[in-house]
Amino acid sequence: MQDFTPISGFVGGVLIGLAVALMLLLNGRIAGISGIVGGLLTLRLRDTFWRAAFVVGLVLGALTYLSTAEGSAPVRVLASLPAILVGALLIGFGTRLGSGCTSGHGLCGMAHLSRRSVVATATFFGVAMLTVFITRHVL
Amino acid sequence: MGSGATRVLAALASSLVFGLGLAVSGMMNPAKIIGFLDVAGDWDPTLVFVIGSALLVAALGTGLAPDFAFVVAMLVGMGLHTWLRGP
Repeated sequence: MQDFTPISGFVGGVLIGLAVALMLLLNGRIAGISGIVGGLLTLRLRDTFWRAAFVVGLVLGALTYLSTAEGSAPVRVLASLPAILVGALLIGFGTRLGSGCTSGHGLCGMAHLSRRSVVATATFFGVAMLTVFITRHVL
Repeated sequence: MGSGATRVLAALASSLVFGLGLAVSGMMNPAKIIGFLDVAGDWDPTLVFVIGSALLVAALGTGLAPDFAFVVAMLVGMGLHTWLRGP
């Protein structure tokens, strides 16, 4: 095992769970990141402001930690630009096609024991593991 | 629930904590995600801890609290029985 960090993983997970609960209790909304971002494209001005606020907060919250001493470990994306673009296109299309991503299905949906979210999460993690296996160990 | 301003503030509050959690857990680093997905390589199970603790807190905060309270109380009852009966 390489780079296993259970304590920071646990602490970060508690914060994310808190965020999901906060969003549902205060706003009555699922904190699914792909749904909130994708909804920005529908141009319903009533919803645009809170959606934009969520995106701004997400970036600010992460940047706040990255600006501290503990969080200053470099995050580097090693893929080439074409690979990044193709990957991002597939992520955007796929999360809308699947009605959610890791946060919406994997956290909000599974926290409610939603059957379709459990199926969706098992499917995308399973297929992702298979993809990594094929690209890293077969090809 | 609430007016426009309340929605904006609630979304901002939630996402600030969400972003902080993502950064703290290391899940902004693509290498950590690929490390988790690469079960046949140097497997990094950190993501299990992130999702596990996030699910626990989210479920506690959004309606499954009675279910968790039931399980915790049951475990405390079992522990009490074991403790009273002695070694």
